[in-house]
Amino acid sequence: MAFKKDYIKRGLSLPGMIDIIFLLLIFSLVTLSSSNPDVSQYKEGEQSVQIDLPIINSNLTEKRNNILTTLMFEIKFMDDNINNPRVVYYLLPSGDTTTYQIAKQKAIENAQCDTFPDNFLSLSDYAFESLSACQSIRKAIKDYKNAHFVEPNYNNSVEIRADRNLEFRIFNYVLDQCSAYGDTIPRVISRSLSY
Amino acid sequence: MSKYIIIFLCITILMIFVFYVLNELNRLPNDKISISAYDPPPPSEPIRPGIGDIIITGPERKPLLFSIDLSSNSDALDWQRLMSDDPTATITVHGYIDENGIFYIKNLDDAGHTNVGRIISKIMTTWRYTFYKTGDIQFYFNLPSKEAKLIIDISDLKRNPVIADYVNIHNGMLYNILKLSTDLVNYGSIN
Amino acid sequence: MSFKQRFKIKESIELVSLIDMIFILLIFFLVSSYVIQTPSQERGLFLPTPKNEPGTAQILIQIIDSNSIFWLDKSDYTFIRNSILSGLSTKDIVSRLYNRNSMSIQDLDSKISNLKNMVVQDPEEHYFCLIRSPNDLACGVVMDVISKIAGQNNIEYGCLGGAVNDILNCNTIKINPQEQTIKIEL
Repeated sequence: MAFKKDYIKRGLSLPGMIDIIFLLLIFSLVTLSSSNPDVSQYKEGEQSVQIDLPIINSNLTEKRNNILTTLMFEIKFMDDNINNPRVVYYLLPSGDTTTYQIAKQKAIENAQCDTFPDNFLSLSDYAFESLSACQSIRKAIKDYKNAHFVEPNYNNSVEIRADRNLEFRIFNYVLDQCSAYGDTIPRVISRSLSY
Repeated sequence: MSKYIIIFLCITILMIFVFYVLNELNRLPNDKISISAYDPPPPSEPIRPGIGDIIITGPERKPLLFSIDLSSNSDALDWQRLMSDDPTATITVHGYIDENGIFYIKNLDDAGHTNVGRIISKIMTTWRYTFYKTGDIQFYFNLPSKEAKLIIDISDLKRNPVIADYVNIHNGMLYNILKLSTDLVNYGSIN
Repeated sequence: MSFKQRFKIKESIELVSLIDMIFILLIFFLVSSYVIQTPSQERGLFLPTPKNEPGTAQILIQIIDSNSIFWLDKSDYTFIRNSILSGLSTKDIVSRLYNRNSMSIQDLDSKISNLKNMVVQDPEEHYFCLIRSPNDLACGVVMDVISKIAGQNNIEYGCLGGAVNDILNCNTIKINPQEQTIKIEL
């Protein structure tokens, strides 16, 4: 009797291959479309290539490469807890390469920050302006203006980076203090995380 | 056979994907290039809010220009043709501009230069103005003059009552004449 | 002799492909939900600083609270004029205006889109929106209102602190017939 040997036919597993292709495709589409290259981590080369980006005529401005260009007040809740007091950090640029992170680190190390009391909303205007945080804000704007904003210029500005839940009174105070210098500080740039 | 076609398609898709990824990676800048910071356009003077009392006004309006309405079918007078026809002609046109900007000739004194007078009359009746002013207007065509070939008297023009008082109205081009230098046009009374 | 061949049809679900597809979907949703949670890039809004003179604007947007606003513009001139002519007091006029012109922040979208349409139709017109906000309101609400207006040519804005009660308790509300302006004396 002759027995036939059964040969197990091996071949390419098509469903598996299709699965892998789709997996790779979806992964690449999702990750490459969401990636934002952080340019600041690239070192300067010997020859720099000037790239002309399109100019957008708008009142909105995108964050520029994380570099701090002017005095910035970062106002947030302590430990990011909305029930905690509000803290204001004074971030100052030094040169053209100060990033926001470096300035924030310096502000923390040098204790360039102040806290608002819990009852700051119920204070009268005079009492509110007498708070140490408000006096520090006033002084910071005055010192920065004397050092950098010599003449009225539409480019002069001060930045505020605030939590969305921060009360408008503090914000308004910074606007008021800048307005005291008239055309020397004609605008404030407000930055907030957009969701 | 169909199995091989499917395999071929899968490999093609894979290759397309690989080239796509390589292309995306090449778009990222390498270490030797520094990208200059994006500078927003220089800001213009901002309109700043006032404090205290609040005044609500209408939107800002640019001043209006009272002139020949070139969007209408206003014919142009050819100065060279007038000069070639009768260089000694002096024509006085008493006209009126109504509330719709339509120009009417009330009286035309051609002092015997009928041909030129006829040409001027035919062309000027097609003129239309912007409706911002109304009233009498006079044109004195003095072809032989060297300095004032055309004098326009606009002293009797008044602003149209429909235009609000606070809107400024400027005078623009009040004649549609080709090849006439503006140096030779004066505004004043015609005696 | 006939042999009975028994064919046992083994019924089973193709588990391998199913597991693969489940993993694909799982990974996809994990990655995409991570991406959605990551805050997008910060954006800045230019805010002009106020100056010490009466606020002249074409539109007043008084934020009442996080849900409602009060809108006033020149189209209310006739209403105010008729109210003055009928002998109503300032308080009554303002109270009527408040009832007439208060709206939710959702309705503000339609008002602003009308405004943007007007700007597109007549590019010569320029509008300045004065936005007043109470001091205890979250500034995110103010920035949201400003964001709706910002980025449009011929529409500028400025914001400052002020409660709706300043307007409700204003000293007088005057009109100028020649210029058709409305003046609220606080």
